[in-house]
Amino acid sequence: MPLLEVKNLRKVYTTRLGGTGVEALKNVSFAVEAGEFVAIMGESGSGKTTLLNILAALDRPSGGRVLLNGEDMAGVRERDLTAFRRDNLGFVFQDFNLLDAFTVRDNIFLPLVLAGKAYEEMDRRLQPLAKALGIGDLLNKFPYELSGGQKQRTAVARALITRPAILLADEPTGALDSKASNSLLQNFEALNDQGQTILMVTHSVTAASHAKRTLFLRDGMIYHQLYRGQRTREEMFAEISNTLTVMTAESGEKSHA
Amino acid sequence: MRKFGFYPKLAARSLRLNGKFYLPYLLSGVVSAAMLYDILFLNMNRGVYAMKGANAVQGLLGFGALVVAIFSFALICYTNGFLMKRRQKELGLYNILGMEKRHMARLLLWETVYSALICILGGILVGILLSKLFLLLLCLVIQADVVFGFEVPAEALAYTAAAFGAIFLLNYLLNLLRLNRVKPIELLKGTESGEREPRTKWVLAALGLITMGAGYFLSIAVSDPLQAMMLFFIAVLLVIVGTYCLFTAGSIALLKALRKNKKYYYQTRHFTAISGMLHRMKRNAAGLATICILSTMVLITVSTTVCLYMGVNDILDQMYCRDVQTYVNHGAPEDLPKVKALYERKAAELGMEMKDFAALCFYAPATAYANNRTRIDPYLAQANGSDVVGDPNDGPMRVYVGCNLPADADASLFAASVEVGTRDLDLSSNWCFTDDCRAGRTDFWASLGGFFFIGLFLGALFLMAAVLIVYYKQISEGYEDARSFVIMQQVGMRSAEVKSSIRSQISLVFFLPLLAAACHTAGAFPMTRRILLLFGLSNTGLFVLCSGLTLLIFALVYYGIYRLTAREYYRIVRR
Repeated sequence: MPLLEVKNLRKVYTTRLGGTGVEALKNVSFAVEAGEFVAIMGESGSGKTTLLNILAALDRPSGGRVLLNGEDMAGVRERDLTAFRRDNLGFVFQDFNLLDAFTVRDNIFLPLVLAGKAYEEMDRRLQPLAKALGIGDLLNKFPYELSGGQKQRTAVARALITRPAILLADEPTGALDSKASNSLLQNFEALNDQGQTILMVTHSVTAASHAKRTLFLRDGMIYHQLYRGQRTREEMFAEISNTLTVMTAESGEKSHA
Repeated sequence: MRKFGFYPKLAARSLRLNGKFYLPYLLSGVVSAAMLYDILFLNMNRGVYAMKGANAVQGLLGFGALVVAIFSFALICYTNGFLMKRRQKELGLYNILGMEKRHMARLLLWETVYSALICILGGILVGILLSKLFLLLLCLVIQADVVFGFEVPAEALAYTAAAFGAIFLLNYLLNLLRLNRVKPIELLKGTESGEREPRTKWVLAALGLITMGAGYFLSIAVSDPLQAMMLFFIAVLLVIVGTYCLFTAGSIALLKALRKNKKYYYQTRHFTAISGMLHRMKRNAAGLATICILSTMVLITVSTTVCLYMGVNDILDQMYCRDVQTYVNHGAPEDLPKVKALYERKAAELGMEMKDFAALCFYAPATAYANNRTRIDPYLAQANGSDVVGDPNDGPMRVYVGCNLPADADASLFAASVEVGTRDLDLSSNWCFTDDCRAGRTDFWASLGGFFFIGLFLGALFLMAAVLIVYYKQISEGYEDARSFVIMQQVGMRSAEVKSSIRSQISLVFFLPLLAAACHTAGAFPMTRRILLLFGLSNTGLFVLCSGLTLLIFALVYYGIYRLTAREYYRIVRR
């Protein structure tokens, strides 16, 4: 059984006045096995954000199903959703979303405090995580004292401290320079090697080239997918670029037709 | 070509758009202008001039007008500063869209003109509407005859307009200074930059403890009422300094200590509240201390004046036991027959019949209380036929002669002729005085009523200021916190938890100053009680009752404001 299964997912946005709806997702199906590192690529308007919001249980689909560990997310009651999200999903955002008022340590502890965990337990979980992400020395600092890369690694630690089944990352390198991006992506790969399932939505070919599999989304549909297999990062980079070029050219032709 | 009237229109539009912030600002401006007009109106009203005991009331009203004016200035400056900070982003955007600073100065000028016009015209209008009510209220509390007629003194209008015109002009200049200092990029960013966590300032905390302690010590230790009166303002000053120091330094020390306690800190409810408070305590503390001091001012002003007013009959009974009375302080028993004979002679000369005649010598402490008058009835009761009462150890001998007169008799004529007569009596002490108690009572009612009136008036003003500061504080924090709460919901905070966390944070912000204010009022109690003794009020039970009732009513009003602001805050955060 795959960890995450998306079946015939549809999402239609209707304007308030009832007019014709906009179909953001049309019949999207894919599956993510435990331990995978999947990147989802697509231009703006391709439905990436909508897909991520539905996976994050922030939005409800118009049709189709999302199964996490075989459980249909549509079956989770509204008031249990927050807890469901907290226990199963970890989020990393483009602009970090750290709280200025908290130290790095407290920012990471936040989801556990909300879950009502004891301090000893929180501390036990933090130590290996902080070490793996290289933020062990920064725990007592405040977000405004950190660089972008350090902030994003803090955000990753915060997402992972609940030991989520899937780490959902929305443009995690969007606000980082290339050096910080690379080091973050290496962190992702290392985490993935230890068994962490990661689903990342991105614009960046570099970011996607670190993943084991890349899905291409266009106009609300899965256009193509690439497995990295035994290829090197450079080969993967070239492959993804080519696919994107073809995809963009095709949609150009379509609009001219 | 730009049409004339672009800036006036833009200014009007931006006032409307920022209505949520400008409405309370303008409203408080209108109310304070109305209050200034009304107090000036009472001060200049011809009817009040003609009242008995008008002098005392006029003086108090003049003082009150000064306080209202100064206070309005401080209040409008504070809120204006807050508004400008909130609008930095908007102004920055105008700047980037090509509006130069001199254009913005024009925009601000028009906004100031509008605000000033609204406040002055609205204030005067409201003031005129309320003036009759205030006049009736004043007549009622000073027990004067109701003044008929309706007047709008031009001087009161002019003073109000001038005072508020000056206040708004000054604010405009301050805004220009602010505008000159900032750069557009900073204007755009506004208030969002991260702020350094405050360090614990032990020296300041210690200073706060010392000054506050000294203030409380003065209140408790000074036992002489006259000294208490003189030292009262020093004690007030000490406590104000102490409050500011302790709120700034003490609160940070306390919060940090709470944060150190991991079991307490890492709980959903406390986690966000403590770190949030700590984060912005640097700016918060001054606001909280101001609210605390304003609340204390309201509590003490209102409770003492109410108590004096409630106890006025008590005081009068003590000061004026008869219609006409004569005291000889440091007197001797041989003075008694002389004064007695004088009273009898004058009564015969003037053809007035003396009633309830009382004459005796007694030993009593020479005090400054109630201008050296003493409750005479207990001594009379002890007299039992003898002329001398009391224990010589109690103090110097005092001679008292007094009588009541028929209702239609002219007490002041009688008192005046007795007063003249005593000068030729060759008494053993020069410290001899005669009271026309009927006039004295009226005067006393007038001055205490004046006190009462001013006390309530200023109390209302201080309360309005406290409300306004609290409101603006919460609103601005709401906008700052909105982003934090979005993030917290993203990492798994339920909306019920958001609510309870907000509640815990707001209630701390609200009830800390209230608690401190109650504490200050209690601390000031010994001192204010002694000062009330100067007025002849010795009824401690009454004072306790008045203070308690004032505190209760104040707390209720405060709670109402808390509910309103909490709702507003939640609405902002929830977006």
